[in-house]
Amino acid sequence: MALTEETVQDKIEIIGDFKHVQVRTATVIKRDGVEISRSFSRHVVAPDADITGESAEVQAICAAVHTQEVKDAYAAHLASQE
Amino acid sequence: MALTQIINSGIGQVTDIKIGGSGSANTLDDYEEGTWTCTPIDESGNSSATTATGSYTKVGNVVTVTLSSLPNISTSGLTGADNMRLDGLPFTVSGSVNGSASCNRVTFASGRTMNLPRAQSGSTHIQFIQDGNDSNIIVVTVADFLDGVADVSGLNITYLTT
Repeated sequence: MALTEETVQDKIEIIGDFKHVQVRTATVIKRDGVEISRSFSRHVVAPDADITGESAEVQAICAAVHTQEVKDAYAAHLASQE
Repeated sequence: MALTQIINSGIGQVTDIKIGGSGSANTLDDYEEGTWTCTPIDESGNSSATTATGSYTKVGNVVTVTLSSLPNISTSGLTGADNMRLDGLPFTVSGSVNGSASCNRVTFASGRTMNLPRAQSGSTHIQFIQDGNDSNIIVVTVADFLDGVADVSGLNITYLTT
């Protein structure tokens, strides 16, 4: 019997006017190759976030959707909330 | 209330549960539990070295996040005049909403008697507001959190997401 654990970003979504990138990371436990457990953790990448620690896939998505226009609109939105 | 439709889409998985009607507003199409990492940041996005893991449950478009304890918050590297934010909510907030939490060793402005965590609309972070008199609310700054000793515990906020 072999137990293995792997981590995979199994859902990446682009949400709302400010193109927040929602990332779900799944931790999958398998016994002899058969999944027996899956748990989730989540984080969201905002337009003003530091993306250096993100996966290459998430970085590529952020680079595509977090345009300067989106960043400026998000900053203005946050300022209006203060 | 009548359960009108259940569609199986695989072993152990049911989707598209309609309750009390057949419209999209009657559809329970999402349920998820998991964890999120709470990180204090300032308005520029500078991060504290203090982090903690909380839990979330999402039912439809309603998200409830909890965090047992974020102790001994370091504000080193954060800008004191900036608003303090707890970043890392698992889903984007749709509409600002207040929750509850205990805040220890956080300075109160004159006349204010309560700290409330507020999930900020259109963001993935929480700010703290102070209220308790007839003046406008005040947003708690980084400097209000006493470096290395302030803590937040018993955080609980339920909010809508898109």
